[in-house]
Amino acid sequence: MTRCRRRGSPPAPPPPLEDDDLLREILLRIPPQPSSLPRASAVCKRWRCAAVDPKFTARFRAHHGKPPLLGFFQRRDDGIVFAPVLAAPDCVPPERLDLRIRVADSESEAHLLGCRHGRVLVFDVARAEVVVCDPITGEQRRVAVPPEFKTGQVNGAVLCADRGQGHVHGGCRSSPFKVVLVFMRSHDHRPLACVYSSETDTWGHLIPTEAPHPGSACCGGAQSILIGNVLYWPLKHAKYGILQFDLDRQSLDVIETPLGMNVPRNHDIVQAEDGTLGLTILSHHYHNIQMWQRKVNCQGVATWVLWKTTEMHDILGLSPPTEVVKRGVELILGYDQDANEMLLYLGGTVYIVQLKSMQSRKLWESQHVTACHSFNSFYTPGE
Amino acid sequence: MATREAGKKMIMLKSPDGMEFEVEEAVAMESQTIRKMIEDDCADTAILIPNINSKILSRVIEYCNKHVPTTGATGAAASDTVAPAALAEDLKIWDAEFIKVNRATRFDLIQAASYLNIKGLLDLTSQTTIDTISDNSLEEIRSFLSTKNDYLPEEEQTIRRENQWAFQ
Repeated sequence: MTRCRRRGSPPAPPPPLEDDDLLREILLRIPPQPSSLPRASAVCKRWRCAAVDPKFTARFRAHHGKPPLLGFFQRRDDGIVFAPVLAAPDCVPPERLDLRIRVADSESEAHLLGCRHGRVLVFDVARAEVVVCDPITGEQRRVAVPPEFKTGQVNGAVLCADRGQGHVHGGCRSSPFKVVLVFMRSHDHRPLACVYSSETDTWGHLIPTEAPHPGSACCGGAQSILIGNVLYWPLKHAKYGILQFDLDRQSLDVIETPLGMNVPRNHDIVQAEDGTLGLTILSHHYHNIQMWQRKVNCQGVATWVLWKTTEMHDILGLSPPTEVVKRGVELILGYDQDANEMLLYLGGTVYIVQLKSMQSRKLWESQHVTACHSFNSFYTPGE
Repeated sequence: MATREAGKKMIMLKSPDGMEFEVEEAVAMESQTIRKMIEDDCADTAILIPNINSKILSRVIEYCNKHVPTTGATGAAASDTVAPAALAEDLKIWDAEFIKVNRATRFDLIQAASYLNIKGLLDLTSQTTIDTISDNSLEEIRSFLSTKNDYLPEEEQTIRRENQWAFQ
């Protein structure tokens, strides 16, 4: 007999679903889709207690890792609108995630700059403020921008600043955040960056690039991507390029890009399959999608390598080749970095294309061709 | 002292209904609970596993036997000839067969996996439970898991209204 066994006969344990710990252990495995926890919470009171418990929801997020893509935010004529991509019952309706920000009337003009880690960043031009929104709780925080950013075309990014061990992005609601704004200073043609920290409620100093970059401008509204601790935005106008901001080194640089990035919205920055910086370029001439990857050799010299070309008619789910010619405008509207999916606009229809499998799915029909920003989040009841 | 067989250290596990199971220490240590007992030197002769009957305990040992990592000379030989991906695929197929049990047995296995702290088995049994209900209506979930609906009709309505889209 072991010396460690309990004295006397232990009481028989309750069935698994009546044991709170085991119930939670089982409920952790519910799919991360947005309807899962609201539905579970309607089964009975004990299930609801689990589903709304912050300790449980933190474990739920950690168990699943990446939050699901709920949809895309897009600036349209009537406001910044959420467009869901999931089918029922996981289709969160646009009004549930309404930011309540008017974008363009006689008194206001607002630009959608980006979404990340459950937050949406909007630039309220008239009030010279950035608005950091949590669409799920409806909370908003307004921050006045530094004076230099009041003019010119501004882009930016929001990101969670929680570096705590065990923190999983997707439950960043109560975590501190950072806002990075970038823009092109006109008098010396230098891109500038400035970082706001919610922890100190202050903007840092202005960070310019070393060299001037005449002929380029920030693409207002183009989505940034985050690789490691480096943010990237596309630059546009006479000279295309990619703006790179290293959050650790606090340095801003411009990366040159391969030829072919010469039409607005025919390209987007992506994360290549090996985790490095990549580009997708839609060639209107050849009716194909080229995927480029930035390779850095051991001497630190970076080159762009074309690593995949896919004919439009080979993208599964798109219209057959005979219709390609008639399709009209072809644009890249957005990119979801978590799932490596691209939003493609083909003559009035928006498709989502998985860039590894090149399989596509029709999402919606629309005449809006403004940039779409992916919104990924867990959805927990009681928020 | 634990017995030795063919150079492998053996451990005796006892179920409350009096059955004894002699298993390799490495297999028993798939359970973090047993591992701790062994490491704390609390397992000199046999380990009584409370609340887990012999039928369930034998299934748990079967699971641990299959999942114990292969090490040493035989293990190295095995990994030379079988690719890790193929091995993982084989385990997946084996798991799928292993978990084809009725609900009561699966719940017993969940309890055993939780008490013995065997992460893989807890994952398998819990995930299977969720998979069997994921496409069902609330009424079907309640009936399948014998869970009583303790909401008043108006309370349930309020909860559904909070996120009505999730019930469409």
